[in-house]
Amino acid sequence: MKIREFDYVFVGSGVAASTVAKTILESNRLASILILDAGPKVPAQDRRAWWDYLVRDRRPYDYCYDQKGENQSVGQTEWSFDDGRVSMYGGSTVHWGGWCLRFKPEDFEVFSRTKEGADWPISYNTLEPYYGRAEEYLSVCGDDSEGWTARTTPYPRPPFPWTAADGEMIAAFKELGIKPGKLPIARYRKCMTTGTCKYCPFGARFSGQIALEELLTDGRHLNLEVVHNAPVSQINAESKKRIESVEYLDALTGERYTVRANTIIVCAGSYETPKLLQTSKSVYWENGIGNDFDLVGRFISSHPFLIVRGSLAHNTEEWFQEYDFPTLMSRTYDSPELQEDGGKIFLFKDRTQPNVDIASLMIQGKTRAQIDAIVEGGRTQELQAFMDDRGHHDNRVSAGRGLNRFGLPQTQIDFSRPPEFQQVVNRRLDLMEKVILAMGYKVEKKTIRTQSGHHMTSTCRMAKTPDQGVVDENLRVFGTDNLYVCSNAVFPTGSAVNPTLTLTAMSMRLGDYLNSGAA
Amino acid sequence: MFETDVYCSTSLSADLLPGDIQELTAREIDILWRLFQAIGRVWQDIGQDSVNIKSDWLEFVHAKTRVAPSYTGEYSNAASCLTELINKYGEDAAYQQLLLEHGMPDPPPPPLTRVAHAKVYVINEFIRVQVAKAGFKSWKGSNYKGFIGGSRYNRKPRARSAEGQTA
Ligand SMILES: Cc1cc2nc3c(=O)[nH]c(=O)nc-3n(C[C@H](O)[C@H](O)[C@H](O)COP(=O)(O)OP(=O)(O)OC[C@H]3O[C@@H](n4cnc5c(N)ncnc54)[C@H](O)[C@@H]3O)c2cc1C
Ligand code: SF4
Repeated sequence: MKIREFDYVFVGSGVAASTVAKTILESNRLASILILDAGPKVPAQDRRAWWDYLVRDRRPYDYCYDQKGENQSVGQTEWSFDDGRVSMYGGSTVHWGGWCLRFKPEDFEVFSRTKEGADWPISYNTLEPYYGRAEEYLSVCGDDSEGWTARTTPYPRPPFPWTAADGEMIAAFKELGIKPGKLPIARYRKCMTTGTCKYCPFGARFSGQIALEELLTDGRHLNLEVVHNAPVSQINAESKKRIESVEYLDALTGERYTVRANTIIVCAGSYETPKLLQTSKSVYWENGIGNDFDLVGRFISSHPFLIVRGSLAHNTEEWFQEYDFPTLMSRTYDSPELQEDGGKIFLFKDRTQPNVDIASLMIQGKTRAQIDAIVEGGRTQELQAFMDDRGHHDNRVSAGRGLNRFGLPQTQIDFSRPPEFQQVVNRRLDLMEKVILAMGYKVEKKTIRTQSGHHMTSTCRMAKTPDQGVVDENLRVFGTDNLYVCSNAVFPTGSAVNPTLTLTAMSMRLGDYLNSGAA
Repeated sequence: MFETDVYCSTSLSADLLPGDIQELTAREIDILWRLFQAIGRVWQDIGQDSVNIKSDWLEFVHAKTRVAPSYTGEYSNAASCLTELINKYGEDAAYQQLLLEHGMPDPPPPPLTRVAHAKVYVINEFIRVQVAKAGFKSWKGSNYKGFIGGSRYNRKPRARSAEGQTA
């Protein structure tokens, strides 16, 4: 076992790790930092890979997704692991959509308002300045006049306009008193609207991979190192309070390392972070680090994904989806009233409809006349929504059978929805159906998708006291001096919108805290 | 498809034909370029001809033949298939059959003859390139997955927009 020493060691190299590391380096360019990721390094902006994505629908990092048979869903509610995260250098933002919405003030007070879930130990106002910084950093294109939440800084870039195909849904929204909005989305100025965002040929959308490359190519960061194919298997404590080191395998050489660090920050995502804490047992932490109250890995929360699809018997305008991201959304039902009624929803128009895969029709040998008839012969539109989720004590993530391809323990998810859940879903689907009907469309589908962990949160809750959660309001693991968690896992409760803007804001806040010397 | 044609109907495995140590000749590239142009003609989805997107096509062919796994073996095979068919049936009839009358679904079954290889590994991908780079516009689109239209800060909107709709 080789021994290495750093000021900071990070487990995971996604947006959380790279943002905290960046914030530390801005204050001290020479800070010695090691970032470890279990996944491989996949080249970005490779033209051959990009063409293959376009013509064969293959992403070069497809093998970094969870594969069938690697994990186990053991609860009453089926849990899908498909496309749910990416284990690689740069983490899951390599394939994210870049939707960047702030949580609303009531999201920080879920328990006080609903007697479900948990309150955050911090408020919207605490996070507000960090939201502005995070939007700047991620280059969010948004509408300053939207008015969904109070903001003290403008969006760094203007919003993408609504597409022609949004028009019918906008009209239906207005008829029903739903305020239409433009989706705030992270795209750099150089975005060419190519629509292959899961493998952008220009690096025009934030990803953890781009962030790491920028940090590494900055010649001032002499003591920054990132190692990929480096699964961390254990966190070692030298006393109850003092965390000494982490152990990792360099999977490419087969060498094992112990890394001692003054500060250890686990940024391994909502699945792996609790598993690593659970498995890091010692005489000081018999149930795993931070797990004296048996809370690590509990309270899994993830958006229920609701859809209502409608169809129309003509498409004389020949509309099809022209971007790879939605432009129309609404937060009218993302409200305190619906929160108190069991669940609020964030509405957005599906990014893939209306659509006709013209190339596929040509590949099938359809003639021009046949293709024209299909294109003009009808269209579908889909209204989709995420619903907020509150987390239940019995729902838990833990290590499954054996190791996966990257040397991490497989994952077991024990997840069950309470019986009353479906009634709330049905009420929300009814609201969504009204929109499709107001558009003059026939309802084709009205359902909830199989539960997945795309936006999983709350498996290492942040709380005021250790009997309520795993980390304190500064993200330090209760009972330790120098171990932090930075991940969606710390959200006490999720909200109806995507998590990563909030995670980025929290990462900046943690960086500031570490820089302040208060740690 | 083309059962009677000796080269085209030769059986072979569905795997990508080896090509990593091979290079395309100028003649083969010319045959493939004519095939690419024929796509625009058959579906009338490109204004005058395909010359404006030749650089995209060439970049695609280079990327597919100069980086592993190389498609050079497939491209060379497709050029030979095309030569056999054009010699026998003439250009129009050969393209008509290859592009429209092949009876092959999408996604296709594993290709087990030389001509099926040409269809699956070459023609189908050329069609996707052609539609993304220009063809989609003939169905009134302003933008399409894979189209590099330029900066969105230009005055002209990048996609058809819901004009006049305000919050
Ligand atoms: C399809 C999809 C689309 C999404 N789109 C959006 C969106 O539009 N907007 C939004 O806000 N959010 C979106 N998300 C969510 C977003 O991707 C996550 O919130 C974000 O990536 C989490 O970042 P992270 O740094 O916490 O974790 P990750 O980016 O997942 O990084 C964690 C890294 O840790 C590594 N790791 C784990 N365990 C270990 C270990 N023991 N040792 C070493 N390394 C380890 C992993 O390999 C991984 O690379 C999307 C998610 C999915 C699945
Ligand atoms: S739209 Fe195109 S340029 Fe913009 S982020 Fe997506 S792939 Fe990149």
